[in-house]
Amino acid sequence: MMMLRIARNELRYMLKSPQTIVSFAIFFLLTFFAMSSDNVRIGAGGNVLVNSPFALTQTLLIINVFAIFSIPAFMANALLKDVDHKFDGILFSTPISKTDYLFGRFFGSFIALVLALSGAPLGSLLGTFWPGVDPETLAPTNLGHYFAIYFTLVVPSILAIASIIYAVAVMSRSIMYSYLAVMGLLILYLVGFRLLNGPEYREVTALLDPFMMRTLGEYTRYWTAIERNTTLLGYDGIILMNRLIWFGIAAGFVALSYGLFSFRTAAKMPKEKKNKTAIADSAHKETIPTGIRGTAIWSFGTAYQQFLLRTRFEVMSVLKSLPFLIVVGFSVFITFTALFNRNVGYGLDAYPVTRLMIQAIEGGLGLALIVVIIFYSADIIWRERTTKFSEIIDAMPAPNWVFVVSKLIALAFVLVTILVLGIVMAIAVQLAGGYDSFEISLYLQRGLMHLSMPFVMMAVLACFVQVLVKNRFIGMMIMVVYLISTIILNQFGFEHPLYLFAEGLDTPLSDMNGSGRFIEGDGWVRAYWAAFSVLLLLFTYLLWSRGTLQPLKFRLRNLRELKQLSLALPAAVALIALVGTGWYIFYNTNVLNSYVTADDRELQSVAYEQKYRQYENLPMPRTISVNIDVDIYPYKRRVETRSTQVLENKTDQAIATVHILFPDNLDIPLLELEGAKQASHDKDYNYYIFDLDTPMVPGEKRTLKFETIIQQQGFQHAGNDVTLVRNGTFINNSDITPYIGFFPGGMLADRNTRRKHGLDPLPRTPKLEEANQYGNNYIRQDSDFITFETTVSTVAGQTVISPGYLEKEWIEGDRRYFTYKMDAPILNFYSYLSAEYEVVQDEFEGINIEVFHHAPHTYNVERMIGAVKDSLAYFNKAFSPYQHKQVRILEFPSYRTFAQAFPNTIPYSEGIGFIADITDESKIDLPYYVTAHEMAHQWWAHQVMSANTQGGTMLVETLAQYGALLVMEQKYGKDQIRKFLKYELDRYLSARGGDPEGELPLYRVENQQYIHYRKGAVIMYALKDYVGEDVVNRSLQRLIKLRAYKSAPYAISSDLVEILKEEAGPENTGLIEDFFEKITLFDVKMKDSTVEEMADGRFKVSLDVEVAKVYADKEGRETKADFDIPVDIGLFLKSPAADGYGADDVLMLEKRRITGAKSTIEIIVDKKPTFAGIDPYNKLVDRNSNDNLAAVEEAEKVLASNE
Amino acid sequence: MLSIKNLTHTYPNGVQALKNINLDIPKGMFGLLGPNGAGKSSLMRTIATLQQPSEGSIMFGDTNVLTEPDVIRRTLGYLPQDFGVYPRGSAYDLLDHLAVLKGITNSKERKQVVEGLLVQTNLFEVRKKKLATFSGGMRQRFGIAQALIGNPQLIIVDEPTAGLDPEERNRFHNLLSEIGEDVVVILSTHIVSDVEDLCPNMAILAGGEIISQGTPADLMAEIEGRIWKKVIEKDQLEAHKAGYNVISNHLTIGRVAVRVNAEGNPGDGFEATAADLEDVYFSAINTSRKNGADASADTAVAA
Repeated sequence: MMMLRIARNELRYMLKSPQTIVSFAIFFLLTFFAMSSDNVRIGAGGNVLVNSPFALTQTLLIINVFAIFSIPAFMANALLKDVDHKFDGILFSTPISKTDYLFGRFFGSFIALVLALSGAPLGSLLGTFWPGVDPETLAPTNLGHYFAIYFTLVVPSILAIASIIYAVAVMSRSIMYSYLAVMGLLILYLVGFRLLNGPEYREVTALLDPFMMRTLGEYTRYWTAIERNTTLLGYDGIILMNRLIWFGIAAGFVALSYGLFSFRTAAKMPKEKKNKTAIADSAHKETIPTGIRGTAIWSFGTAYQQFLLRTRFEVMSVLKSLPFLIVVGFSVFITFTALFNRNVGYGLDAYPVTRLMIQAIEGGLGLALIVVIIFYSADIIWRERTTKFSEIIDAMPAPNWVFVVSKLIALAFVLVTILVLGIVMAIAVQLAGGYDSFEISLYLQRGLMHLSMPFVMMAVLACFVQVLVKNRFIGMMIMVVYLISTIILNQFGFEHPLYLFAEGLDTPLSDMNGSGRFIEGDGWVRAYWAAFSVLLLLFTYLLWSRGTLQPLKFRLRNLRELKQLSLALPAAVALIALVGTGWYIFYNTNVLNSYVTADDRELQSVAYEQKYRQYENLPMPRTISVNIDVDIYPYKRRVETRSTQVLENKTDQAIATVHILFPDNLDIPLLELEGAKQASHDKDYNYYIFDLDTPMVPGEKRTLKFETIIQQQGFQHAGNDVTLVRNGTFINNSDITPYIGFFPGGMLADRNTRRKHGLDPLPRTPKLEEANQYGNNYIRQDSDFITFETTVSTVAGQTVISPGYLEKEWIEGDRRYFTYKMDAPILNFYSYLSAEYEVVQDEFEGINIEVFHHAPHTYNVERMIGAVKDSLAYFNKAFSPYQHKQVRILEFPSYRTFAQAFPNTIPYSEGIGFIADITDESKIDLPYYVTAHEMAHQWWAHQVMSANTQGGTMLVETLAQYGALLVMEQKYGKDQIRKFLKYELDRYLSARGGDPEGELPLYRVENQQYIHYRKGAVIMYALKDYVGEDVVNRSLQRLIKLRAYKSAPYAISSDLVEILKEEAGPENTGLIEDFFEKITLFDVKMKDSTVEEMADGRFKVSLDVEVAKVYADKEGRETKADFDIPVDIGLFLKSPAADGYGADDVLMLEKRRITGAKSTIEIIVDKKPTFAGIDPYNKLVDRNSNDNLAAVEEAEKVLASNE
Repeated sequence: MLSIKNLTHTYPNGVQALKNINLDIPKGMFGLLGPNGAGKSSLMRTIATLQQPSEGSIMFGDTNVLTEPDVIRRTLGYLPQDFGVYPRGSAYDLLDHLAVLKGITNSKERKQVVEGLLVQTNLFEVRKKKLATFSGGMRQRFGIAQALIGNPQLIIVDEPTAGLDPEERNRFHNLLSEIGEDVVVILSTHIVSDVEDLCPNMAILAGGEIISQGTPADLMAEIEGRIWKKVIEKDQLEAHKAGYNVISNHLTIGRVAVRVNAEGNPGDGFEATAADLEDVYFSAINTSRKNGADASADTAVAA
């Protein structure tokens, strides 16, 4: 059969072509490394195993997206190679039928494509056998899963896309249009999903995603670990719909192209402009003298002119090529996407500050530029050889450097063009966003210079490699291997910048602190690699092959040219620079600082545990009072601390030895413990043991005096300090003061890492029942509430703030001093922030409010002050009086993005609320929410502290969320809360499956953020709704009375649960248990709703509802339970999800008890409702919260349609 | 002028492309004859600084071609056997481009050079056309034009007349002979008449070795009186090849004319004939083939 024979020939041809081998190799390697490396985890992590069906599906579908770049090389090539090789004339005159030809070629190349992409499942299969893979993270190998995923999910997607590309190739006869089709698909994919980003579009995007990434995401959104580990994606629901849509589109394209294809239209003659000036031409021709051959002039000027000519030629060659336009189009698109993606949470974007714009360019273009380098280095270096013009060009008397440098410049030009375009777009985005303080110098420095340099160096490397190898594909493969090595070398403990080509140091950017000192160490590393690149360039020049490609052995002879001064001099200078900067970097990273890799740090933690864990349960005295002087030198990178603290033996035993542990980067010039002498000092860990002359009897107090010095020097290879910086220092007491006794936080925590080192797992948190922990708080176990006084100084231009009231402020020399004193007991948890601040002041009922901020960050300061006032007003009444007379919000650089509540001070990162853009008032007010949350911590943490047991963070974080919800609801109304809680519920449900040790009920939360923040907010709001706000608040007031400022014992979560049960009455006991003591999932659904007008003009509404409740265990195994709580039933004039929905639109909303899984409810109302809902405000934890509402239909119509 | 000494080139796979070549090439046209795969292009490329030999030396005047390629390129005009062109750019643009690379920095002068050459190679009318759309012959003429830029003292043309129609070939021959007297022109070809028409000196290369060199007249004189011809039936050819030193045969109206090289009249119907350059060529390569068991190497060189 003809078609079969054509297909077989095509397949044989394709299997021998480089694209098959290269694609196979790349996809094999990518997935192999993804599987075998501990650091790359696609879809896996926690309880989800790396080769689970879910993780495999995710891995292979991502590869799908990459594979789209290979598709034209197969599908378009299958058709167009005849035209390219001028074989079409012969071929199309043979008696092959159109069907045989088109489909034969299609199937042949498609099978080759499928074989090439099978590198992905093979790589992911073999990757699991790599010896380094932790067997605990592996499921038993199931070949069926690989087959099923590859052939049911990947191959069909590829088939659909390949058909479209093939159809485009058939219609256009152009490989470029095929690539444009690829670009178009990608752009549609990315832009579409960028625009349809909200949760409400999830279903649409899942249906339309050709790569099925979103489909997978949506289908498995709330899957638990158990489901992810065992379940293969089925061909139903949205997956089936998605497949049908894409096969339909593909079939349409194929039909269209089949219809349009004809053998006869194949050859096109290039159009030539008619030469109108032919006559004038021939006249001119007669006058031309023919004997002149020219006189060559050999000077540097000539070489320079040649250089300019070649550079212009190379640059224009790139500029005029269609691939370049595609690359630029692609980059423009990626950059725009990145520039608009400034999400700071809850659907809110940040203002387009220049820092974010630069980060977006960097993040968006990084990979694209590397691809450009790999592709264009091959293209540019091999240009003459590919066009077979090399013998003529190479025999020309232009020096090698002219060719090498002009080609490199062309490559650099491509890179810089893309970056400049990125900057122009960034400025356009800023203009469009009404942001008008353009920091052009920052753009040039960080966006252009700093960003382009490593890529230019990589371009040098790529050119060098291409000159060295015999074949451009080999060169490209070497660069791909290099690219992969940059990703994985770190994981194998190779971290030193001296051997990681072109990699600088981390240079985080901050509005407050600019590039800080980070840029300086980085500058040395860059200088080092620049010197190396110059040498590479020299070698590229020397090994440059003219004419016949010579074996390297021959070309090495050219190195004798190094004897010439003109080469020897730059080589020597570069070598000296390389050695000099290399030595300086080594001196900084390995002499001034110690070179400690991540692996080393693990080993240190293991050694620490083995050496000192024996002392874990020794009785230790506790800090009860702190008097501390701190001198901060932000420019000299020094912090001097002098402190006198009082320790008290709060145990009931005599204490004979005291262990004192300082951070290991501190110098400790003085350490004295009253009535004790130092028995040992372990310099590796700064671990001191003191023997007491006479033991401390219970209740005895002793004075501890110490001085510590932080003196940073030079720079480190990684982890350069972000706490002590020029403008925006933020250190806390754990950086400068000791821990009394064995510090458990110094041990490795991650289960898998511990297993690797032969250590038993550590419990995340002690069990709720462990009464011996009730006297320890969860923040630090070596102290309780303390008295606090501090004198702190900084440079004259800055203000330094710590908890406490300002007692005194003075200037001495060029330094400013502040004395702060606390009037109420505080936890042993305080911080110092020093920066050049602007201050906005306000006042609320005698409480002083101050926001210390970076001068330009004025956007949301008033919102924060508003949140402080509202919080004070509300919490003072609802909980208890505020314990301080002051609230201060302090901005710090975005090296860290959080806000944190210290006593009467709230450090707040510039990266979140300060630059959030809330121009659209319908959006969630993030700065308001965060401020209210941190304000609530003044009660929930700083008044009532919880014990170091399970559920500890529920009393702190969940109650802070509750506080924030109270003030937000008051300010913005129920509708905003509904929006906010939808995010919270979604984040809770999405995170369940990824928990490394499994989910726990709220009251046993083990510092799991998705539980104590996300689920906590949902539960507390529902609780308030079910039992009443006054009941909850009364319970909280009782908790405060019971446990505020108490350390023996601290509060535990069951204290609150018990109080709640008492206050809410026995009818709510089950509800409270469901909310707090169990992992409870509800599923309610408005199945059908009809309305009928009655004779008296009122309306009878009939609702079919379904309800279910399940309890889940750690891994998500579910058991059914009776749905025994009342649930909101509501009738509305407008959908509660619609814009502009308000209280007037509620016809009826009340809680009803539903009996039976399916029931029908009849309600009579005065007005005709349009929407009906069960739990319409999504108060319950419901995995499918979109089916709670339904439009109400006329009863007659329903009957009619039934007939 | 151009002196090649002990030039040997061995490819990494062990194939010997050039074996101990010694040549002294004076000013004027020099013909290098040889069958396909004889190593002609290897030798040309080596002289044109595009390939480093394993051993040996090449001097052009006082310049060492192998160690000072940059110097030699300044006086070099090279037309490779097979070349392509950049996909963009007209004949004029590209010739101008190459003129800059040849060191013609004065733009006025360059214009004259480029236009003059375009006229001489009969490309003037199509100078604004994209070079990539040129036919093989037009492209070859472009190749010739570029090789002549800048008064080269050493011109190497590798199979220059391939693809040219008779008229263009004549035009090319005229062009070459005009300049051929003051400079060294090495013409590599397998077309004997090219050499016959143009070259005062020549050499024959086969199997990587120079098997014969001298003036065409001397070489013909050497075999004068040894060439015998006969017209036979096709089926007699094998027997004749076995029986006589057949150097060439060609079809002539359904029969075969064979020529043999022999000391005396072989009899059997052979008759004496005047030796021409073709006989010189075929005699030389025939002898070489018989001597060398290197036939395999020959074909490999062509790669």
